[in-house]
Amino acid sequence: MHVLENARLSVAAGETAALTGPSGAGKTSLLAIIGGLLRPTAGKVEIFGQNLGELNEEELAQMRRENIGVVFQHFHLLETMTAHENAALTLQLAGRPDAMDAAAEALSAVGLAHRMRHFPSQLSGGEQQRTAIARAFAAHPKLLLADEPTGNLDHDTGREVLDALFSEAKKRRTAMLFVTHNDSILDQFDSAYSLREKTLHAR
Amino acid sequence: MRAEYFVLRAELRGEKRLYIMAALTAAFATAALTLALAVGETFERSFSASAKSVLGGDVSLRLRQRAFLPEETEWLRENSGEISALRVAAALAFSGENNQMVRLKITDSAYPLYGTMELQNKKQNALKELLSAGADSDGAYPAAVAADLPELLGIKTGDTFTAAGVTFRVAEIVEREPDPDSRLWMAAPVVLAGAAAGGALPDAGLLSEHYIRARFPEGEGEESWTTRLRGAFPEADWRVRVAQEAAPGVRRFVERMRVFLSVMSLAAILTAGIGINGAASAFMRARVRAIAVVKMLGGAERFVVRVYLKIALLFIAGGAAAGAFAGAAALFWAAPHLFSALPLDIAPVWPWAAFLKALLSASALGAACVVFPVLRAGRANPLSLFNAGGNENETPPPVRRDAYLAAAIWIPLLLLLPLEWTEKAAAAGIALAAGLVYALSSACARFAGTAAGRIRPPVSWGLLSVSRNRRQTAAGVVSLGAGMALLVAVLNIEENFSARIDDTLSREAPALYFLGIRPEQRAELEQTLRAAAPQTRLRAVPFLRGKIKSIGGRTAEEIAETAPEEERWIVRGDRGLTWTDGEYIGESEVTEGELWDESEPRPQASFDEEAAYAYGVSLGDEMVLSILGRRLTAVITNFREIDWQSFDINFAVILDKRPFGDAPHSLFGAAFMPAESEPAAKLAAAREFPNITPIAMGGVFDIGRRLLNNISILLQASALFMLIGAAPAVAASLMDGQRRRIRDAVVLRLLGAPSRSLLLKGFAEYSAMAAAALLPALLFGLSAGAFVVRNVFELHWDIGGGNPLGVAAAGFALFLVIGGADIYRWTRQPPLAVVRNE
Repeated sequence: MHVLENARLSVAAGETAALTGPSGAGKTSLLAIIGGLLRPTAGKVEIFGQNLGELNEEELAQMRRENIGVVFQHFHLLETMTAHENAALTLQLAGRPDAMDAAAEALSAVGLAHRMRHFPSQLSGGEQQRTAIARAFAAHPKLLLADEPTGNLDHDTGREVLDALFSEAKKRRTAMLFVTHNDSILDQFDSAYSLREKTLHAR
Repeated sequence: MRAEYFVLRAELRGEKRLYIMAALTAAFATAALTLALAVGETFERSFSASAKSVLGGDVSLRLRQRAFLPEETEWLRENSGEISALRVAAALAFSGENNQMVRLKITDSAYPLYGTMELQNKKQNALKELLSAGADSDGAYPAAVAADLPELLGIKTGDTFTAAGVTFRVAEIVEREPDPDSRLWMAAPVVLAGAAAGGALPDAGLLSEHYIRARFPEGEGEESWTTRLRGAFPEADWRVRVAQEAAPGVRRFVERMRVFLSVMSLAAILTAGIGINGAASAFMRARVRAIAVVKMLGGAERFVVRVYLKIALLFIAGGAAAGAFAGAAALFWAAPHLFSALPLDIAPVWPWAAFLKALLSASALGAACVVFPVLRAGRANPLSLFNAGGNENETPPPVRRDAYLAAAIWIPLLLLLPLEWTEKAAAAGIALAAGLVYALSSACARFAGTAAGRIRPPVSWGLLSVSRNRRQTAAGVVSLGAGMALLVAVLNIEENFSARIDDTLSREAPALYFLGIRPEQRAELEQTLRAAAPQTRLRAVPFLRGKIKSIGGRTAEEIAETAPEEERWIVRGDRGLTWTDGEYIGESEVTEGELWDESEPRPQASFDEEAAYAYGVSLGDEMVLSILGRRLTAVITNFREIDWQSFDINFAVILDKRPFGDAPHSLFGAAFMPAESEPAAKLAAAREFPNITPIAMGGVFDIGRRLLNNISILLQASALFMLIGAAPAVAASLMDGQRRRIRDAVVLRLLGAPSRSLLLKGFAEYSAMAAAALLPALLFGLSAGAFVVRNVFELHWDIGGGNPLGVAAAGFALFLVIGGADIYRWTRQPPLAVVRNE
């Protein structure tokens, strides 16, 4: 079954783009293809000048480690790691010796310097998502994929998380592709796309 | 490396219960394996260290039917470093009405050539003085006796007692013999006296054995010395043993024990492997989301697999190390018990080789059990993290995995363990049985699912859950079922044995056997016995000792090499022989040929049918025998099927009376009388006939029962150990499906099911699982019991009493205890936490 056809999408450094569409339209598939988790059945996916089809699993993992940050709707923090360790995980995987310092800095940037030693179960939903944002930005990715990151949060907390995301993306000149069902926030993005009937439309 | 350590350290902070179960399981199995290997190791070392003292010299020559001739003794004295002559005999010792079978050891002052005879009296030269002393003024010979003998005879040090017509005085108490006799019929308190007492003993009868033990001359080895001996006495009918051949019975006993423990530990490792695999599967299923996250953030699959393999191995190796340590330490406790009956100086040292071998084997096998779940979890797809809640991959693993697992466990283990091929076949049989139990349990679980359709909720929910989780059910069942099946088998065999001994054998067997009756004493003995027990019926047959030298042109040694172990005894040493003119053939039946063939002019022999089949002997083959130093040839003219369990007088070889009737011989008697008359009759015979050895069957049965009891305790302890060791394996296997069961319970609660319904569902589920475990265990246990009783021991088998059912009840209770803990968790689980973590 084809879920996407003729999808062309471009997000420049420091730009933010929203992606909307009904459930089952293929938004997640598109994110997964960009993240190198799914291979398209036809066509070419080029990220940062690299053709993902030519990379093996190891090289795709490296590409994600070095270039892509992800924020999920369900946070997906590791419950056995503190907020500090969760934030440092990507950097540790990249073998960065300054992983813990950079993670501490990223947590401070999202206002969680005082919660670094806490485990996810000791954090509120908003704090967990901000920890996830710190984890995503700590390695200074070129691209951030956000999969409905406010979908599990109340309005005010969602607002705070959104602010943190935009602020970090602008500050670090990270391109952000943001999946959302919330049309009321679309005007905050530099561009917006809608995925309907397998096709990507600019809004 | 740094990143691996980072993730590994964090993961170790999380839920470790499953791996603790896996570690416990590995520990139990490794402990069993270490102990099995260490027992063999300790025995080998102890045996090497004590072989010469057990044998009594560098070499030991034994004659049964006669004493050593002066020229033989002279040659041995001249050609050895030093020699010591010893006569061993069985006799009834008595003092007043008290009596006790004793082992008389009559020897010279050179005794012992190796080792030390420890007496209570620590005075230097006490032993030498005792052995060189003559009779006291009252005619009593000083003797050193076993510590328990004075009490058994109701006497004290300095008092006298009589044995074989000789009066002995208790002069010393033996604390430890360097060369005790471990044979069943010699397992009696020792009476050690000097050569002077030997002169007063009757020459024949008394189950006498004459030994000369020797040290090799300085600089001469075993091969050269025995070659010279053979050259000097080519026709001698003595048995020659060197140190490494000492106590073959003990060696066989320990070998069997080692094999038994090895097979038990194989079974323990099988159950452990299943438990470890179950725990690893459940743990990895719970970590699928974490793995997906790590992979999404750029961790490669290889990285993830390395991390989780290290975690698994840390626990498995930790458990194995703890188990190996416990098993090695247990040796220090177990060795004195296991070897207590053996004439060896057992001083266990830390069994490094066993420790390392068991540790490495168990770790490798543990790794083989966790590698598949880890590899499978390593393939977790980060795609599941998007939008969805990261549902864990709960797809049942492919069935093929179980075959991999079985192969991964059994093949290296079988190759690693120092077992004979027959024992490896037994181990393979256990694996096959485990596979059958697995299949049967799966079928039971499937049946529970079918039955659920006809039963109302909540019981049907429990049955359906068992059916859905039947892979985990079967794994848990095999873990528990193996121990249970073994315990059921052991108890069933023991019940059958006891029943046969109590109800059948003791009723049919003679009350007393008599050895060494001179033909002219027969009538007088019968009279004496009738005076003490009027209903006595005495049957006596001619008896002489001889050795089979060859049959059908093949030497006894050649035959022994190729014959099955259980049939070798007939050609191994010297045996009792009898002859008949056709009237008496014992509890046996001629199955082929004639007893005797009138047309055959040559001397004839009748032979045991089973042995003939095992040796490849045909009617018409010639048998060469050595009797009293003379070679005799007889042609085999018939085979007999012998009922060796009848306890009647039976002989493997019966000779034709015509050519042998005039040979010097004694009689072997069996006296039938009521059991209550036996003590008086035995004592009367011992008083009247010092040369005759009475053997009371009651005592033999008692020894048999004691031995059976000891073996049974060992078997039961092993089976219980397996059962206890199976508990963490069962728990780990059950945990494999626990998440699903908890989620089911929570959903039921959210839908409004009351606690009572949850409890009923749990009870139904665990009862069905217990039934799936118990039915195959009972079936296989009883089948194994029937096989052993009927085919190995050739006894009548019946299903027995309540012990196997008791085991089944214990297993049921164990399952319910484990289940109770699980059900408690369901009812205590905060529903929201489960639902939100979905």
